[in-house]
Amino acid sequence: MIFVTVSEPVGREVYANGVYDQSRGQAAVTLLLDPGSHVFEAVISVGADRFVDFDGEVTDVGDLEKMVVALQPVVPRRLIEP
Amino acid sequence: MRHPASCVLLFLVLLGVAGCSYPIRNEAIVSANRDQYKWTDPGPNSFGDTLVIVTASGGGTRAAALSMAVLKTMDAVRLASGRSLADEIDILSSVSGGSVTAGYFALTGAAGLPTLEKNFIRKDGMTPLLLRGLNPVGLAVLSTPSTERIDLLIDYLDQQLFKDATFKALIGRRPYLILNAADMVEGVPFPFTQYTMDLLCSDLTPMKLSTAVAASAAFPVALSPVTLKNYQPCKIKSPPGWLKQAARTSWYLDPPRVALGRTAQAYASGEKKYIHLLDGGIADNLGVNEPFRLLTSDDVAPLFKDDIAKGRIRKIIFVMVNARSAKPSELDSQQATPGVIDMLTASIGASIDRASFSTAERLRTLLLTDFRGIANDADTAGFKDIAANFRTVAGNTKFLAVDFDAIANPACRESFHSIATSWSLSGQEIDALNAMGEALLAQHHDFPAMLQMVGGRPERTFRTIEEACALLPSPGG
Repeated sequence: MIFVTVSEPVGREVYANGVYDQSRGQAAVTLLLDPGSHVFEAVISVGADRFVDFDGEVTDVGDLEKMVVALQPVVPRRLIEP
Repeated sequence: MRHPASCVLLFLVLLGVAGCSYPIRNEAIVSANRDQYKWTDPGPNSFGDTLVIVTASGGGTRAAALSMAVLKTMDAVRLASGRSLADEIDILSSVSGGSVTAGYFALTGAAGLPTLEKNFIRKDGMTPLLLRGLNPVGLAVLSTPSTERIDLLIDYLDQQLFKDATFKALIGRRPYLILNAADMVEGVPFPFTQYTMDLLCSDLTPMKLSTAVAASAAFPVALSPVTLKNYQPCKIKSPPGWLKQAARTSWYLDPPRVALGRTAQAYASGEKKYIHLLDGGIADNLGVNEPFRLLTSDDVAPLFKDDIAKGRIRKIIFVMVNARSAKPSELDSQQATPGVIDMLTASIGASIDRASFSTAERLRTLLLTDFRGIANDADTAGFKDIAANFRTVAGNTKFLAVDFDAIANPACRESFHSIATSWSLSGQEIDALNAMGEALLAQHHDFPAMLQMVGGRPERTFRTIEEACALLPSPGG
């Protein structure tokens, strides 16, 4: 089990692994993950569209680890296709 | 045309020409802005922190009747809110015969159970299927690609129960229904959810419930598969993000995620143009695989593991209905080489029955042991709140398996295990299954604790296992 705390951007909803149906909580949020590769994104809405404007990744982490990840800006922000 | 035989011949030729295309059973996603059948949070209520999951195994009418009996029993448990325990089921996942009950319950609720019993469970379902298939017109129609043996079952299900209802009719209703078939090429479960159908760029909502139920119950050879078209590449919907992450995960770290990711990638890439689906029992005859995944995976929504970590789910009730067949075989006592039919039925049946056993044990391990393991990991990592939340759920999880194996009396147990896997059972067998389903749930050692946990009160006295045994004489008696 890996415990990843997404520290930034504070107050923004965080999504994991491209699953946009369910927010994982507002950063700073601790995500409980299975070992492996995971990507996290903070998403903003502009009108009907949603954009990824911050993201971060942990790659192939083994079991029983913990880490803090600050998401980095995505420029230009990436449109989430429906 | 004066000769009658010529008329018949022309009719058959025209029929054949008209039916030269195989049926397309699923539609493409054509718009992102559409009503979709997906999990919706039931919202805050007296049961907001309790997750109720029911799974129903395969086994023809035997399974349909047993799972119906369990739902009736849950409907007879009244909660403080005035609702019944059956009203509070969040997830209903099923296979084969169990899917007939699950599909109809999701469509109509407990109020529909008498109709289910009258129009399907107590009906002889085998004779209409055989008569439709074996008459001259039926044989002619089945010989064309446009109509397949599975259509006999689809049409019968619509005629008796579903009346062409689609998944659209389930939007806004509870429980969230997961009908499980199996990909006959990959040998993996194929749950009929929009998340699965997204991989094929296909819209679940307009699909007929009878089609999905029939796919879940398409017993190999006897029935033909349900074939879905893969509409990838998809302009409307991108492949899910977790596929990329699964592809970058070492198999040693998370084998299930990697294996599932490879199959899902084969769907999403369009590599598999058609998916042929057979009885879900081939891969998972209990229907527990998808609920297991929802409780443990990071790549799904809803993400119940997250809800547990955050304290939003504090209790779980998991009722697993297993109508597994274990009829003694005479093959073991004869020297003669089994014939083709014996080999076929034994190999199909044995693999389906074995697929009932190992997944049940995995699930029990998860619900009763792994939660405590996650709690220990969280403690070690310094996350005391997460640890406390998982310990709370581990201490408040009731896993109630309704299983003929729980019957202590060997003769009675053999009687129930010997009920045929068929769409036609006698009235006596159905009466006995009604009683035994009720008794196995109500007499489960965790049933009183479960009632106390949810503040539930039985509205009537439930029958005992002994009373249920008395309704079904043993095979030799």
